[in-house]
Amino acid sequence: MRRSTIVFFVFVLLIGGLIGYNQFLKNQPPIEVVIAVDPSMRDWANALAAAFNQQNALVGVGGQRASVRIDASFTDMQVWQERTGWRSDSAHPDGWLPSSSIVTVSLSSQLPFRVVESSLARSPLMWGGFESRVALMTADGLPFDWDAVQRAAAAQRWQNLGGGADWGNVNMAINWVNASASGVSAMLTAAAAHQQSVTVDRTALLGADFSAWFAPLRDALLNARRLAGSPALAMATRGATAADFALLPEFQWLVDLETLLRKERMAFAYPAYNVELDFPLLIWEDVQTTDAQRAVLRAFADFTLSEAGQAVLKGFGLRPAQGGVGSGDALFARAVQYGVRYQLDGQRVTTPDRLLSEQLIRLLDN
Amino acid sequence: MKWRTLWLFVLLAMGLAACDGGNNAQQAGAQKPPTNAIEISIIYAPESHDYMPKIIQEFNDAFARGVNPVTGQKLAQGEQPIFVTGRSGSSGTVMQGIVNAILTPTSENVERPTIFQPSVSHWLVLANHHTRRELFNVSEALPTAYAPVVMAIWESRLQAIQKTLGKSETEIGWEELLQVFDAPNGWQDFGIPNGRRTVFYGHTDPFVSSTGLSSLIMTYYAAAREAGFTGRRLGLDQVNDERVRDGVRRVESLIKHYSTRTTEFKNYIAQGPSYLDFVPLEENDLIAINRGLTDFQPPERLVALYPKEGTFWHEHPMGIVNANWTTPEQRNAAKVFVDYVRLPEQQKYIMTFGFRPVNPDVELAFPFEPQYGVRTSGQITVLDVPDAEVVAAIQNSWEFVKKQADVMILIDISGSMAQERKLEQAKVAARAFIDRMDGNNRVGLAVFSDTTRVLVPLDNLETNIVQMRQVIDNLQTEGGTALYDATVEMVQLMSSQDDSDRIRAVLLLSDGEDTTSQKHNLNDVENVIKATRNDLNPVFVVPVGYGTLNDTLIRVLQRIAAASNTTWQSGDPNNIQRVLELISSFF
Repeated sequence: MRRSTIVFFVFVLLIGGLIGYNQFLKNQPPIEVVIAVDPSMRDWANALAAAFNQQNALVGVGGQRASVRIDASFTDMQVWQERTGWRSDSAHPDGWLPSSSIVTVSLSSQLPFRVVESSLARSPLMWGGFESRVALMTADGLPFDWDAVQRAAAAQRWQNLGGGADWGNVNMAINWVNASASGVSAMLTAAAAHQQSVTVDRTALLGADFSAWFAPLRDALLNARRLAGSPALAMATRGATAADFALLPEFQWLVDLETLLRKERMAFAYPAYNVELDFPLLIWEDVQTTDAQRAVLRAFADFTLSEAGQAVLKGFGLRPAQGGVGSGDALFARAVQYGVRYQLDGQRVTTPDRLLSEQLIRLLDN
Repeated sequence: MKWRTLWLFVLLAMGLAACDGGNNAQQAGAQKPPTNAIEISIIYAPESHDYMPKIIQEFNDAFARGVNPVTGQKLAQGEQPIFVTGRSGSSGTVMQGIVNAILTPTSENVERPTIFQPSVSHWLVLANHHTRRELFNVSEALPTAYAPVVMAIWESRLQAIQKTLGKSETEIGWEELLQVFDAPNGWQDFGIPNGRRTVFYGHTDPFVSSTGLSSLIMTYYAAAREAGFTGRRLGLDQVNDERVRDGVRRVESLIKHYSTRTTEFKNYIAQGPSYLDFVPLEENDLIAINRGLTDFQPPERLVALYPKEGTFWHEHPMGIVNANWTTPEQRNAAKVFVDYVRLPEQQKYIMTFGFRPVNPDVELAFPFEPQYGVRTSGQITVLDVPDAEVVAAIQNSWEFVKKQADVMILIDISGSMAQERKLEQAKVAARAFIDRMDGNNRVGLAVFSDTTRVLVPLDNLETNIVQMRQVIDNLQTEGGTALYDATVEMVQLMSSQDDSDRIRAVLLLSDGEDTTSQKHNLNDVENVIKATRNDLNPVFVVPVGYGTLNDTLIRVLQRIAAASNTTWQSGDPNNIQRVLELISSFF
């Protein structure tokens, strides 16, 4: 047998072996990890997981397929308030992707989560409102931010601000504090705006000055506790009878922008003292955690941070963990004319400790 | 018949049987959960019964075919099918059943669904309040069908108010409606020729019905504003304020009669302005009346008035029960079903029954058309929903602000009532009726044969209930049937009661056959009832017919009922529970 023939046969065997091995791996059950997310993140988390699973990423020494399943059973605040029943010796997810590190930095030690990646995406809080309402609030030049909002809330009815008699009460929405980290973040920006400081002083929240300032805001906000799901979606469906304006994560506005615009032109603005949701990824790390699980979560984080993963997220109005957005990003580009900005300025408020977060929740939910 | 023809028939019959069997098999298959299915249950609001069975069926069918109905994809490996069973139940009753399952599980009314879909989230908040736990995560209870509560008013009445007060439709609310009430000559002062002096209003039971609860909260808001309340949200201070309660009593005094549920109430309303002038309804019920989908064809258009002071949206939220009878798998499966109901295709279907879609991708279309009396664009002012303890206090206050009733039970004890055990059935009904009535109502008992006798005078039921029971037990048949004389006499007796702030009614239990009336005929009965129509509290007669009734006897009972815009009821023993629920819900 000629040498070239032998080389050819070896080559064929090698290729065949590789294909066979690959096929063998594909037929093996994947290593599936379950990642818990807040229900408000379910759509994009599922899309991200589907894109990741399609990659058929291999992990570990043996090269097993990695797979991720999303579980949106509990809100971030249910986890933070330990209302999930998760324990090492009973059912719990393998990973957790909350919306904000606000809930991870002050997490109970009973939940053995460890950070895999500090941020997979970003979304700042953004004011949004029906333009007719925003125009009245900002008529004298105040920016669309807490002071203008507070003054409108103190007026109680739009009619008192020059609006129509049938516009009713001034109603504001946030994702409800007891269910959402973005709701707590919204309260944090209120406190920071009132104190004109990026570091919120807990004791000042107990003072008469803040109480008097916040009282009308509380009245304007309380109807939002009945707006289940995204307040932006409720406004897109019911118009101003759901809420006149809201302070929500930017991505929630962007995904419902087209339907909101069918109701009325929108106006957006960013709070001067702002919070950015940062979507950290954590792993449930206890004696039963396997290297394979660690590897799958690492691979998932790497995929999310890759160009392909970040493209999926931009399609849901999220900003990449690193880098910015621009005119090539359709959702953002469409919203620029209403006040969305590619580059953000303003000041970032310091992440609160657990006591401050609890106090912020009690401002609305006591 | 030739053999060939016979064979053809046999084959045809076999074919038909096969078709039928096929259908049955399909239904049975669809009704049976697939192997390893996650089974969940839903109890939904009565108005959702229009659309929910079909949606559940299609959801189950998809899983039975191995398809996820939300994604439209084949079930993935390891993905479990979901099987939903559902039924309707009044929101307040179901909420109490769920609360009982937590607090008093041995109660008669206990419910343990996976999903509770009331008409409005008030009930989820109340359930959490009563159980002192987060039985429902209200901020996650997604809406499935929107329906604002509107004040349904006959177009002629609304136009009269607009013309007299010089206001547009959007400027009208409780304030203007009460002006009609205060007008010395009622509707006549508003240009309605031969209009009634009194205004008739009605609403459903706030412990059972969402519309009843929302309308009572709205009444409290209106009364609190009148008493000088300028804040945004009602609190306990307002609810416990006697001036506010007097204001609510004033509105309640317009009540012609109550009703437990909207299901029945919308049929009464459809009779036209002679029956009720305005009434709170969910927008979808108003559309149903205008589309002629109720028992009566409305004589004119009913218009949805969105009160200028504000109203509430009923959002038909899907409350997933967080209790020990639901597992995490079931709760996740429930979310899949909720997602399915919110998809555009389902929302378009739900909209055909008069509900506004919750999915913004579905544009408002039929039957949201002006001809059905609804507003399709523009602002709807909303009221602030009070805190749970305030809503509970408003509910509990109803006992003290509701309009009380005077009811005379008039039992036929003539000889004909001895046949078919008719008197015995009437006695059972009378006893059950007094057992259901609130003790604050005044109830009396009269009987008739050749003559009429009041055996128990009208008095607070708390006072005379023992005597009533004894007298009912001892009733015996005798003599002939002076039905017309007795009815006229009782209507006149009730009409002469001096307390003007009470619902007045005669509950007539008879076999309908008049044999010995000396003074009056059927026309007199109709006339004496109709003569009270202009009173602040007209006397209405609810006839219940016993035994085998021929067409003539039915017509007699129908005419008596029609004179006071009620309907006659059959006293068939199988029907007694329903009839009693219906009648006692009037008061």
